[in-house]
Amino acid sequence: MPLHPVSQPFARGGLLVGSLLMLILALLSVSSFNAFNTVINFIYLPLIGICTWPRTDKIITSICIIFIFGLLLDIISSGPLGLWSLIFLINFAVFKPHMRLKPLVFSTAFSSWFLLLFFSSILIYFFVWFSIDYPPRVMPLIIQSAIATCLFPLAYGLRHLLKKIFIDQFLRDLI
Amino acid sequence: MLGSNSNSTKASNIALITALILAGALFISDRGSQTIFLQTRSNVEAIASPGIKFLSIPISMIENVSSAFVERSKALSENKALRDELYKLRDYQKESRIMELKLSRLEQLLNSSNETNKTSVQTVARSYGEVNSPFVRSSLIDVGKKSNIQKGYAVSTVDGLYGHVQRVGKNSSRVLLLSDINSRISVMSLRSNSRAILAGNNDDFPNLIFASNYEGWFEGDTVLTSGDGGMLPPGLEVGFVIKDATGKLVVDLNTNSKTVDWILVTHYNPIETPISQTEIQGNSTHDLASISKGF
Repeated sequence: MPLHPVSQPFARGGLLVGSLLMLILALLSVSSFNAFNTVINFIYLPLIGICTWPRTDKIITSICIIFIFGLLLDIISSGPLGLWSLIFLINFAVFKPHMRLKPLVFSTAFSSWFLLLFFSSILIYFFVWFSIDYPPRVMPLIIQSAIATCLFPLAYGLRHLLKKIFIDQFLRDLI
Repeated sequence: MLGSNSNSTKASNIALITALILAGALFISDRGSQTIFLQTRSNVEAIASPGIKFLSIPISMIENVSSAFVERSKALSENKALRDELYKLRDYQKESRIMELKLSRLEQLLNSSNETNKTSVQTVARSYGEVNSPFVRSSLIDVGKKSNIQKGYAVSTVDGLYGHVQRVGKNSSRVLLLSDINSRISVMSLRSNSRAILAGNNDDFPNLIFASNYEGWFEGDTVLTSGDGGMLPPGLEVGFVIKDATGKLVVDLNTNSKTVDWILVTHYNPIETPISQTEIQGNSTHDLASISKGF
């Protein structure tokens, strides 16, 4: 990950696409899917929004939006307040998705998704342990990771669609 | 941290650290209790619930397809089982009619009434946001204050008790599921009348704790709400007792492995604590004092 500033121009509307994607993924993540006598949740889904966060120079706005979406997810998933905000912000600071040098392509996004997922799973494990006073079971975390990974192409497609709707065709590759 | 050494980067670093500290402070203060910003939580849930409901539409369509597929594959065997059950139930129906008659005569003799009849008001609602994450087990339902829903009301499905209302918004409510780590309800065994507390553990099989009589609980016992403490109506089916891998008695909930879509909210007002004699006397003296002041 680069530590120097991004010198390329930024596409207007990138933050709008990122925010809309986060909103949709956050709301989807608390919808449950009951099939074949199993309840499936998509609680890791909003992490895709962080992984594919648009390239932007509006870092403070990005931090504020991510913080608010974290709180929103905490509230609608009825979890401890601040948990997802912390996880999102730590991921944002570590992986710096807003500072990508090249436009996002699926293969790069998918490989960085694995890194982010692994790191987030460790964070979630310890934060949940701290929150409920005993270590959570690992299997549900692995299942959640697998579900989110399976849904990654769909979320990426949704991002692409939002890009097509909200961003000028000559600037789409800049986010 | 986030870019070059320019002023904007400094500002963004400060913003990030502030946000991290704020999130950390919220997380630590809300740890385990989830009691801060209760009103804000209800309001946000009320705003977000139409969005969740809208996004649940395609999911529920896929659910319907999969459940139709499962039902079709089971149809023949279920038909046979249902026919056998019907023959058995005809005998039970005869017996229950006789029992009903006997019970009503006994009630007339004792001048008492069946307590379960008091909880006849129920609201049908839809559950659309079940969260079964490693740290919380709850669900959102589409009824709230407008439908006279109150905190503590029992929420059940056709299979049995599902949870109780934890927070009430304008048009939506948050239900704490029986399996959530914060859920505690008083239960009894149908066979032995032994009492215990059903304690959630964020697993599918909640524990039986503080059992009044451990010998009174056996594997296969049907578990009902006891109504002790007056918070939930008595007699609601919860599940049945099983042994876990360590040999500990846990409860297999009736709602486990079932698609929860439509639910019933039972309107039940907790039994009020009786006013003590001294309080009554205190009130009457106060009343007398106010009357005398008037004169």
